[in-house]
Amino acid sequence: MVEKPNKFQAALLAGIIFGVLSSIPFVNFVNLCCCLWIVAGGAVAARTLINRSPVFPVTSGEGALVGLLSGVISSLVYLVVGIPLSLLLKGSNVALTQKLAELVNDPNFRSQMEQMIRQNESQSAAEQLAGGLIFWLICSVLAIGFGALGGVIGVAMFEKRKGQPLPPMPPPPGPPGGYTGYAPPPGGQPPTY
Amino acid sequence: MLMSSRKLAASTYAGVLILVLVWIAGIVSDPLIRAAGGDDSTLLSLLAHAYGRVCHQIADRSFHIAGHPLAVCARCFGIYVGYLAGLIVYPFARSLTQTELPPRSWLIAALVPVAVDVAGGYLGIFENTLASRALTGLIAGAAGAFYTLPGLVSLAASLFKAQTTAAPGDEGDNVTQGDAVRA
Repeated sequence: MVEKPNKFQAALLAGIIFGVLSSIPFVNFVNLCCCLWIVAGGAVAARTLINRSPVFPVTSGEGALVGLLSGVISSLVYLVVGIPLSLLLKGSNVALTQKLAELVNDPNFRSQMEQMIRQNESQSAAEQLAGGLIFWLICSVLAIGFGALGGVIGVAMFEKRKGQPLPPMPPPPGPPGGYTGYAPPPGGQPPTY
Repeated sequence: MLMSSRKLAASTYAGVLILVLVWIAGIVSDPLIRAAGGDDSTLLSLLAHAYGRVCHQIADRSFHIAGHPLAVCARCFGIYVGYLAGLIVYPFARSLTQTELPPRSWLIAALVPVAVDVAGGYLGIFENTLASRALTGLIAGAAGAFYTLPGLVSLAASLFKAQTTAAPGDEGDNVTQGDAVRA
């Protein structure tokens, strides 16, 4: 019997990679475009599942499930990597945001960035940690939803086998050499299969 | 838990529709609360942070209600409203129980306008506007509903182990053929 590929394994690698990308400051800005890292993570997980499933075409539901798992893993990676990283790099984040704010021509956007910097500087580490955990909860819900959507989109993009019939079953292993075919038992009925 | 595939598909559809309505209500409620002079800073902060995870929220690139920007930019708003429109049209266009995805080329075609709008704006080929961002997002979002809903129905079928025998009148039902059998 042909085994179906493990969905968790397919989701794990994509979840970790896109979870790390979502955790790195400034690289995670891609998520500001409708959670694009998370959607991409779901799509890559679906692609991995398709590659690991040479016999069965992957259904849209399986894509949604593997994308959802990828989103869960990404959010866990964000909890373990992203929140500590944002606390550790608080100083350099503020400096980089200040430089970015100087480069921005739009006065409204610049004032928003400056307000964000002031808020960031005035918060203690405990306040930042509590805020980070609340953000993580919000992110987790979003990551699960967008990951599932990414998984379905991944199936739509990468699964080319539509309702293909299953390949023929391989013949059962025959008895060792010398077998010349079925010989009915004396006086008996041939077996039915 | 056994449930006919048609009921399960309808429940999934209703659930997704409610979630999308709540999501869009959150986007619109942010400026409405501000316009009404609401000072519930906790709720406003929660809304701003929740939508701030998925959108840059630049005020100049957003629609405004009573002088206050929506919680997401025009393109994101277009995508979500388009998704809602796609969901509303969906049951009239194809069966809810159908889990086969539409052809991939349609999805790519629906994503081309938004890609051209983004690329044209960034490369300075043309100046995109609030309307162009919203309209291209609307097309992508509407197409997205047609690709994601079958997947979510199929996922629900495998999670809740839909009844393998279709209810009477379930013509074209294929929720369980590929999913419950495999589950």
